[in-house]
Amino acid sequence: MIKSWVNPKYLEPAKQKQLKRSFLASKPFRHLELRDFFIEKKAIQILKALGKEHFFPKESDLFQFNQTNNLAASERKSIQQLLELWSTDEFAEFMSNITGFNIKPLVIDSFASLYQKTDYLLCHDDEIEGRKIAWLLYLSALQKGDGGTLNLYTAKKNLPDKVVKKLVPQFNSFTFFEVSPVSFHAVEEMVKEKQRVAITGWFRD
Amino acid sequence: MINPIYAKRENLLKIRKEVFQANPALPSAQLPKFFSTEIYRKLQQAKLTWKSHNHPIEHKYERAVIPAAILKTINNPEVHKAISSITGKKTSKLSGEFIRLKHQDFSLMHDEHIEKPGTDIIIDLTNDWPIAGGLITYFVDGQHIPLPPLGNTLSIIQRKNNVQKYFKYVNNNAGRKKRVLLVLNARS
Repeated sequence: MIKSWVNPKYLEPAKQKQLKRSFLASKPFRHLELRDFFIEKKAIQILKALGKEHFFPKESDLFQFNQTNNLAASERKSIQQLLELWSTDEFAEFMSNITGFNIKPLVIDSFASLYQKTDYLLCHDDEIEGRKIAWLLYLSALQKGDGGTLNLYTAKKNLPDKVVKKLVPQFNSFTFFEVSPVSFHAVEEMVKEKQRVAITGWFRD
Repeated sequence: MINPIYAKRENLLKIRKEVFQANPALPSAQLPKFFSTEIYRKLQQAKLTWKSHNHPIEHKYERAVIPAAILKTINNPEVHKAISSITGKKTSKLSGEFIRLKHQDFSLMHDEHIEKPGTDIIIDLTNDWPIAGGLITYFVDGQHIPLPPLGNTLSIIQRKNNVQKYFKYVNNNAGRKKRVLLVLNARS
């Protein structure tokens, strides 16, 4: 199943070894961004399907954006297929090869999010028992200056210190990072009239 | 000193009954045009020494100590009478601090620092605050209830057990504008 979804270049064993080296060496904490991750037709299908999902406003002291229910409840065929892919042994093996963790072939919670002008997610670490890898599949393209970047922080005395990396969402890029007590990250406030669409979820080990 | 409307006992009792007691989970009332123009200007023009109050995760804003002259002004008997008539409780000295919020400032709720029940008195000193966040928001029974921003408004909020408040993140609609508030505690 993985071959009908993932860009073939990422399935080469030699490429995966290279990606693993990049993942392990990345700063400020282990992360990786894989551009053009899915076969483009699949990514477009997912984006179209999300257009039919309902997004609810989510607001608290920490964030403001719109989000779907758990996508496990979706009745769209392409979304169901995507969730099926996340939970295959093949995909777990792929993620295990790159991260070095023993990833379980199961994604139990994933959501699509929509950030519009002034939406944000303040700095936090994502740590909840069992979560090993947090991932995002970006389905819209932003540019520097639009906001909506995924900001990664260094840590000092187990608290976030400085933003040292800003990942600008690119259509069909798959970004993931190790969840730990110091995996401090934030979504920068959207400052332009654009939409930031992504699917987010977690792998467990 | 204060708007004559808020000096009349019958008006205050009406506010108490029809506004303050309307939401038992968060008894509250906002009193617009509270101070006379002269006093409001005095509060706005207070000479303050602002200090950053930053924590990497929990909060980012500025605060300032209330000068003695301002403390005396806000502890005027007319102010106390208005507050007591609405809350139904006698108040002793009002104390607290000035708060200033600008783009990217915020505060979060914290499970380990839950405020004890009490009465918040908040005086809004900013005119024409845009729709930009920075609102004092109360978290009550799973709901986020913001205080609408309006210059020269005195807000009275009675916090019961497990009610928390925070400053909602100030977004880029604020531009370079800053929001100033006097955040006080009315001890009974």
